[in-house]
Amino acid sequence: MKQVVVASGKGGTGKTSLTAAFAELAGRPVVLVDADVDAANLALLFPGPDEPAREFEAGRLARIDAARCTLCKRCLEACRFDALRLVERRLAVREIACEGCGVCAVVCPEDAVSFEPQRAGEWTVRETRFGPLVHAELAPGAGNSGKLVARLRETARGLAERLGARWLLIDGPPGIGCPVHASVTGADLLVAVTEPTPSALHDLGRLLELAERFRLPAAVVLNKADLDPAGTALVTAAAAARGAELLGRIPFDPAVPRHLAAGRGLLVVPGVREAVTDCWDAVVRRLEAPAARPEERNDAAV
Amino acid sequence: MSGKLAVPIRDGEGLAARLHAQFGRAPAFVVVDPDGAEPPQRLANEGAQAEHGAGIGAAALLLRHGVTAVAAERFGPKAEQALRAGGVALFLAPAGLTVAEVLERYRAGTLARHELKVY
Amino acid sequence: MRLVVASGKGGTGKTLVATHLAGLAAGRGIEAVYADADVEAPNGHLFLAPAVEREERHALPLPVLPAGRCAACGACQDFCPYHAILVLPGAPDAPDAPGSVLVFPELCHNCGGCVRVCPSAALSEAPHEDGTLREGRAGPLRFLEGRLDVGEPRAAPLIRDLLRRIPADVFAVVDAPPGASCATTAALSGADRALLVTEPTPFGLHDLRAALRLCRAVEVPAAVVLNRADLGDDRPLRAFLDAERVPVLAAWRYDPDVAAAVARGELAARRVPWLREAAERLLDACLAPAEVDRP
Repeated sequence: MKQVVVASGKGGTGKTSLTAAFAELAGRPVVLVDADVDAANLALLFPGPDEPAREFEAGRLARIDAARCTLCKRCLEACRFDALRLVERRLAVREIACEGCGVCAVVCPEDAVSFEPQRAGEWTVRETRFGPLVHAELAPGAGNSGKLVARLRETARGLAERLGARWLLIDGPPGIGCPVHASVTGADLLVAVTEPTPSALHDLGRLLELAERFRLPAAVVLNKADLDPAGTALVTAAAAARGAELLGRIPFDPAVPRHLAAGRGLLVVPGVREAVTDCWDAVVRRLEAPAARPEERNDAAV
Repeated sequence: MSGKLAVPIRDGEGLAARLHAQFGRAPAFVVVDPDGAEPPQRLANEGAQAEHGAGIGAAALLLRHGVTAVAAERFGPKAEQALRAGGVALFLAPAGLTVAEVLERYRAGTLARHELKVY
Repeated sequence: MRLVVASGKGGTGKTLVATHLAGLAAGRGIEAVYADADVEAPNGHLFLAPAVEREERHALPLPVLPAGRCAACGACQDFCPYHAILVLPGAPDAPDAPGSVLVFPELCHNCGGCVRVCPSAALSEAPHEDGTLREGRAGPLRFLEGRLDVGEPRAAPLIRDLLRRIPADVFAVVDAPPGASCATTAALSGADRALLVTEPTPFGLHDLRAALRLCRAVEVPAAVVLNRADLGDDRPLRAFLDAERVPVLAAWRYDPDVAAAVARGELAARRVPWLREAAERLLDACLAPAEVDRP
């Protein structure tokens, strides 16, 4: 079973549509994870029934017992996250800011602080035509998205093992922060989707640097490739400089957004279909190579 | 050889318990004395369900109990760092082996060491 | 006034909108600041080409153990809810040898709690660098940027400190990170109004809902800018926004000339007259007394 994560650095380059297209090409069953939990769009392309949603709790939320509180405000002064405020002679906790660190409880002389689990979102598994899709919805402003991503991936891994799926595809979040770390760790390949613009090139560089730090093999797909030939050359060079294989170039076609808006994937557009298929074939060739290089094998010689 | 060897287990008791694949997430550890002087000890791993840093919690548990070596199939990077900082030797063993089988290989010196990746 | 330009979905045109509003405001002689709070992928500098006047490393306080006083009591480890600090016992055959700790910077939330609870007063804090703050000017426009180091997990602390550098009494445009999680929340802090940039697609609408929920949770009134407005069916989006009573301040069509300018790293309004005009009108709408977003 191989895990491929599709990420991008910059948002809007086409991660989700590419992941969806790969899912169609990968052969059933394929297990899908939408790791972009604060803007989870993969489910929009894969209709199907969801299992009942499961609550995701992460971290703690402070609670102040008004009966014990003497308004000394030591908690307010000690909190580094600006999570406490005085509202009409009561000390209230701002749920969206509280990180559950516990410092307020440490400094409170009246033992007025307690903690409850913080609801960070909910997640579920959807049955789609191609296989299960594990997806989530983060509560607004919630932190801990990395932890939620880890939970989704763990679930997906279990499903892949049970179903004997050969491929586990992860639609990653934009950026390079903690949710991206949780999406890419332990994957077999990072497919970095980019476009030939200075913004995307800039962010691709940062993402590839992250991949290097994580010792994660990386490859690049250049989307909307014919938008700017000079940009295309720069992306090709940047990928080569980081030792990232260029899997393919997908042409820009204004028909694509219209198809996506109608719930149809990339593969319905001629020209785009061939290019995407070439990219997927390159992924398969790369990950199903007969002898893994020695340094990639786990040193578990027993 | 002195010291204590800890093995993360997924089910079973004592020397018949089976190795769990992931160090930090195992529900319990069996700690054995390679010299056989002490009986095997079971340590519950309460931090197994933690979202982050389960491996660190497990490492802390083992350090508190004076463990000097651990054999597992896989170590997460933080668990590895924590255990090494505590001077614990890390060994690799395939999941599914029993504690007895792991102990035998440990004594015979045939367990592969977990090497620190050099970047 | 502080305007925060956000979006649920990435790639909808936040930076396009934010750089234009800030640039045009400065061009009118208004004292204006552009702050790039998309610290994981800051792109504003590509379009504004600022002359950087100051560059500083940003750091978070991380627990450290200066020599000698750790009794390996475990109070710090017991306190820390993030498993960020691990106690390493001293050598068993040297009971007077101090213990030590191992800190995991990527897990630490820099709350200072471990330092507070240490009964031996053995822990203190030292700066751990996690990013860079830059300040400069693009003509009359003041430019601020936060840039998170690759490998650092958390954007929010850097964003909060970036925003603290915005002077009072200026027209500030904050370019926020995409999404609706804690990084975007941090960027919305102190906002008078949020401009949510979206596109007329199912993805755009879905993510706009999340962004709007966030704005409501932080009590920031929101208005929408619809970009690439002719590339899809905008009716579900407009119906949603009507029902939610969120004003649509502008609808900008897809224009290959604009896309080409963006692809060249240029401010599109310099070459595309209709965009300049539309951006000026949007700026007027932003500067006018706000239509309140009544949920």
